[in-house]
Amino acid sequence: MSRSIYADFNGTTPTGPAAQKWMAKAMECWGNPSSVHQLGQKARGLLEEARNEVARVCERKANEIVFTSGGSEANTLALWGSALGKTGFRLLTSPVEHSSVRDTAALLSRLGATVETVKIDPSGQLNWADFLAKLDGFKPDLVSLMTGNNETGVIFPLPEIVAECRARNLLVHTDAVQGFGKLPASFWNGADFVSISAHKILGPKGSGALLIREGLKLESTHFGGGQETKRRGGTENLTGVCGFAGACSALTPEAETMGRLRDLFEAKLHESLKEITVMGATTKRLPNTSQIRFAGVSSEVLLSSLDLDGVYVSAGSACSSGSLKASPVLLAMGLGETEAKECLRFSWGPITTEAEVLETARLVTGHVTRIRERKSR
Amino acid sequence: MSRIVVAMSGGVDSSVAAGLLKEQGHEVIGISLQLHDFAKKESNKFGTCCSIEDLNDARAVARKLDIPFYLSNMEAEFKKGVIDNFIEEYTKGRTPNPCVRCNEKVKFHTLMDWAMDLGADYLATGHYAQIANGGAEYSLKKGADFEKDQSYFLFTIKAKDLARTIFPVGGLNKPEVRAIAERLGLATAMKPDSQDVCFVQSKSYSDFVESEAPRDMIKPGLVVDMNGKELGQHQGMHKFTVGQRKGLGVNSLEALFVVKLDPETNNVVVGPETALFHHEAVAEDFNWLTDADSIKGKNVLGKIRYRSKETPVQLHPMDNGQWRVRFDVAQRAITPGQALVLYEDDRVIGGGWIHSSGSPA
Repeated sequence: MSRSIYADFNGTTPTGPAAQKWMAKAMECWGNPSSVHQLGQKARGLLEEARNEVARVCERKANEIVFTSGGSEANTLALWGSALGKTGFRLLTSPVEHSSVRDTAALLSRLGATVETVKIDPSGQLNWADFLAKLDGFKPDLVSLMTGNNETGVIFPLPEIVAECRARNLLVHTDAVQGFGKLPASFWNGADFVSISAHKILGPKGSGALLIREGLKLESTHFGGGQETKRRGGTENLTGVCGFAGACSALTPEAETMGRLRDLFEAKLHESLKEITVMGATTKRLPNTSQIRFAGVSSEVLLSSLDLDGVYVSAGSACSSGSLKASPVLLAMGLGETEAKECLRFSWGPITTEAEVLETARLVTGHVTRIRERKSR
Repeated sequence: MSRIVVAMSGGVDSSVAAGLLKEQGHEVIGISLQLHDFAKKESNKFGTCCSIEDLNDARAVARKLDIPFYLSNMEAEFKKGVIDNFIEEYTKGRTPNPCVRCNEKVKFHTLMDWAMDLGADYLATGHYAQIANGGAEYSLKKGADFEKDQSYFLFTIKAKDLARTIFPVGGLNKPEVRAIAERLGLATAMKPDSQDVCFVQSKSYSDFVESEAPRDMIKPGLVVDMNGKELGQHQGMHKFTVGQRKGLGVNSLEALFVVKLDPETNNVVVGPETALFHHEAVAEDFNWLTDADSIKGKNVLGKIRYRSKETPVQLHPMDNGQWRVRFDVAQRAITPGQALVLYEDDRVIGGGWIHSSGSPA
């Protein structure tokens, strides 16, 4: 294939030049930040420089940043670290969270915690009445609700969620992995615990952070040398951390451009195809995400057709073998198994061009039309 | 150059099928189906079809051949179309053939549809079978290696699909296939052949049925002789198959065999070995790969299970769509639920599912 179009930025992003520059610096500074000697001191200096940079874009204090191996670890640490040692722990979350939240919640439940989920409307939005009812009725110890959904882009109203929890003296965690870099920090950083990740913002994989509000205690789930002020043991991944900081340093408010391209993409598809549904279109969404159902067309078939053209998109949730299952997010929005397996996710990034978006719309239209015609014969 | 989709199971045959087509210069695309959620069940056993290791092998071969590879999750369809049917058939006193059933209900049409949706010219598989065409008519023939021939498993293929199906290893024997795999450096070159029903794994079939079937589907009943006299009791039809000698739970001086499983009375009927031989059977749900009328007067051979020999048969249509099949040579243990596949020489002309055996020889 001559060239490719990347439309899977919610999956991961390329490592940008700013991240690479910081990482190169870190690789030369190979000391252990915990060592007392000067080499260690240098590394420690770089680590703290990186922490300051991440804190700056998060509009939080440096001591509130705990570096992790990524968003999944941050989510696990937030839930697991809140529940450890507490009997009768109560967690309120949602059925559309990332699997790292859902699976940790399931484990906590097996170990005796009580887990409740807030109902999801067909729009993909939180059922607000149910949320309020459960805050009062269930009285959770922790509320964990994501900022922007990785599959549909649907945005939960974090400021309102935080305000309601604050009024009831409840702690809030948010998985802001997809919202970080696409929504202003003020939107999500009111939460007590915030998970973020580097590789969704042109940073490297294997690097992320949990923001922990100053003064809050969390049990550590990783033990080692007491790093990250005893909240995450293990020698720091300095290269990854610096890559994260580099990506943060290059963050620009590109949301507007992405929103325009995403809207253009959806408009083109609506023009050329019938029986398509943009999931979550009736509520607020991240500016870069389109989850679209093409009725009658299997997502596996459409995904492979586009892949052979060099257009990279994603669908469903991958299971251990790498095959796709119906997405729990789409099922929670009321789609049936078959309908959920007719959905494809297009997610654009800061380096996406208008030409790429138009070409993708053209190719999708061609495949969907051809596949539907063949089926109707 | 054609665009060809190859169904890759992770075994050596489909690996070589893909390798040969790639060598011939075609645009080759590998696809696999994940049929069973092996994470849920017992640990994986080597040498079954479609386990996670097999899918990883298929993926590794695709990487080695530098072809794109896609995987489809067909767990729900497989459970409904194959596993549930397997359980139901056993509890009803029939002996299912899940591999043929899987080809018919799950695999073949899914693969063919996907291939056509990708704009492919052909679907290729690693079966030991051949497609021949005389003019516009395509036919399914045995593989050149008669020991490995798998045409029996393919009788449910639709006649219209023959023209767009290819079997790249069908003209080879197994040692040749392994040699090609080695020459191409494929990791699956020395992989053992798959043996068992993939989803049953380490259990016996009856243990599997017992662990999976709803309680009310398993009913104890009587073991009776051919005159209906009670000889003992049994804990469910699924423990028996026609021709079985062991595990009958009755004492007898003469050797006794299961001669019939009667779902009406839930009786297991036992008798001497001679009672296993029949000249007639009734079969149903036929798939024809040639015009059914055109076989009149032809020397048709029938095969009642994969490992049995073909034998001349006469076919008589019945009013209800079933066919009465008369064998020149009495057949041992004609088993309801197994496939009857019909050949003319080495060409498959069709086949159906055995409903019952006829009067004893």
